[in-house]
Amino acid sequence: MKPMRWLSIALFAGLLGWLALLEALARPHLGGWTPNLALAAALAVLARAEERDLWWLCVATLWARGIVAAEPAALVVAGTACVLWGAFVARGVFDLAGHAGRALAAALASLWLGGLSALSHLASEDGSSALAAAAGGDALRSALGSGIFALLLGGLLQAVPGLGPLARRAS
Amino acid sequence: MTSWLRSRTLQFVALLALCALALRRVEGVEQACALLLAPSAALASFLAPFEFGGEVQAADADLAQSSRAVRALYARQVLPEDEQLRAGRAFVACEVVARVAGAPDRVIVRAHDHLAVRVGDPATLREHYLGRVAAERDGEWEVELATARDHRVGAVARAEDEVARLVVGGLRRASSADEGALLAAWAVDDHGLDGALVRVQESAAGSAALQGPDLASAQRANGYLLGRLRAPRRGAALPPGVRSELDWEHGLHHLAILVDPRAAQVGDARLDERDPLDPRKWRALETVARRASSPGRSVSRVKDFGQLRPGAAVASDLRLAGRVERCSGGLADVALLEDPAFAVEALAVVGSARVVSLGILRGAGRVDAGSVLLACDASALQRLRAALEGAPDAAVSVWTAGSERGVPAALLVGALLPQQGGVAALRIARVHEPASRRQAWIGDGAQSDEVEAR
Repeated sequence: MKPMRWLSIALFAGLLGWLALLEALARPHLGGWTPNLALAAALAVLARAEERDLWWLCVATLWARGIVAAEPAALVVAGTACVLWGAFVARGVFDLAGHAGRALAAALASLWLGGLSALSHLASEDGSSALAAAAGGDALRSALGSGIFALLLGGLLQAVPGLGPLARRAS
Repeated sequence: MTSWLRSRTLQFVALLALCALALRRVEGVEQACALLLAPSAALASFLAPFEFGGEVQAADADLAQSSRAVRALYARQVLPEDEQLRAGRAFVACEVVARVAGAPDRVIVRAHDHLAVRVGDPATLREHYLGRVAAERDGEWEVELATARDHRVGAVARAEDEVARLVVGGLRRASSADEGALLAAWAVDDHGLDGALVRVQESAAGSAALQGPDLASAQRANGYLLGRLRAPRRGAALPPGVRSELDWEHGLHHLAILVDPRAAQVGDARLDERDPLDPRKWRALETVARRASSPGRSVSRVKDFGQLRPGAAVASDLRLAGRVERCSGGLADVALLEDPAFAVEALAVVGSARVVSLGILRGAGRVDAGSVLLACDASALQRLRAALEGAPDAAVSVWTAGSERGVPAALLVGALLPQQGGVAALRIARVHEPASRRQAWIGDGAQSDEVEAR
């Protein structure tokens, strides 16, 4: 792999890490409406990434989400992996790089992660329904926030300087 | 080799399996995923605009004094007001620290005067009889409550001129939904005393199995209240019951043990080991992320230095900030006060002298930057309202009860703020506490054969 490509992946990881931290800082102010910034950005870039880079992009996304996600590690890995795999499959059918595609993908991804989090609370031994309800309610709000964020700023994220070598797939 | 890896069906099945394992919280999978995410922790330390923990901070002087006063108040509140119940008796104040796993009718307590306590000594709370000391374990005492199935205590029921002897112990099934659980009354020799006060009355004749020091020890509780006699409904095949005023499930945070007066004041206060003012019991935390990002949660992530246990209190200058929820992969998540996973046993101090049990408070969200909502049982709200009836303008502060492993008594949860009626939650004022000053309680390690008081 060319050094430029490695550099792009490193930049991508750095960008996601920064967005994840931004998300954590925004959460006390925005509450449940906080968009899933890192995931929305990952999906926007993934829509145009070449297949050979996908594994690295997945790892970078996992690490970025792992920085601040409060769920158990297995849930973070499983949830994120499902989202990325789903996006990878869906991009062969839909245009995930376009406005509607990336907004829908970000919203559905947030909804899925929130739903999984709610399910995990219900499945736990103490079966906290309060936690599940809170996670479910926030998942809806977060999905809307993420969709709007991806719609408005997804294009900008796809064009971040340095990520060019990752976004060469014809849409 | 790679062709099956590229099979979408297999990938799909593998992901579904991973999700199922994640939901079931399989330990091995959890550890493997934590290992995979280990670089995230390192990355967080480098990238975040974080606050890092420093030296253990000396507690705010005023708050330290208040905390000390609250602890003293807790200890005083266990004593009976009736002089007759005090006369000739020696009391050792104790703090409930946990319940025994699989035996919810046994509580584990730490005593102010450890060496004075003996197995068989009665345990009381104000004028109420609770049970008796059943065993010693690692510097703590196990108290069997009167609700235990095999517990028996001699008693008398008195109503005006009528007196009946009976034996009380264990729980009796309720004959109606609104009756609630009652203590079972056995061998009642008169059924016409419905509503009579039932008090402990151990005697040599009635307690043939007890002799010498055991009998003397049991008789120290004579006169203490068990409750009021309740005859079963007509036709119900149930023994009479005794309605106790105590909240056996959530209301036992502190109690007194009636010890042999000759053995009292020996010393060795094991309770001091849980003194929240002892800086050796706290460990400064290094915060990785002040607020982790997850739907519906208010969680702070800290570095786990190996001494953290789930349930440990996290405080800043004796102000409770949250509790450790889980530890894995060198990191620990702290559920903050407003988080739905946060729960703590708490007491309210009304004015400066009255203590009201609030049972378990649970995080119910943030109202604004300066206050949070903590949900509690309707019965706790009722008790609080009753306490405030006599003093509507009295200040109410909420403190930890200390009856759970990992949480010492008298950490400030916050001051109660006025709130619109009809809400089953308390609005608690929260002082801004910087994450860099947070410390975790390491004063008592989790013990595998216990469950925390619930």
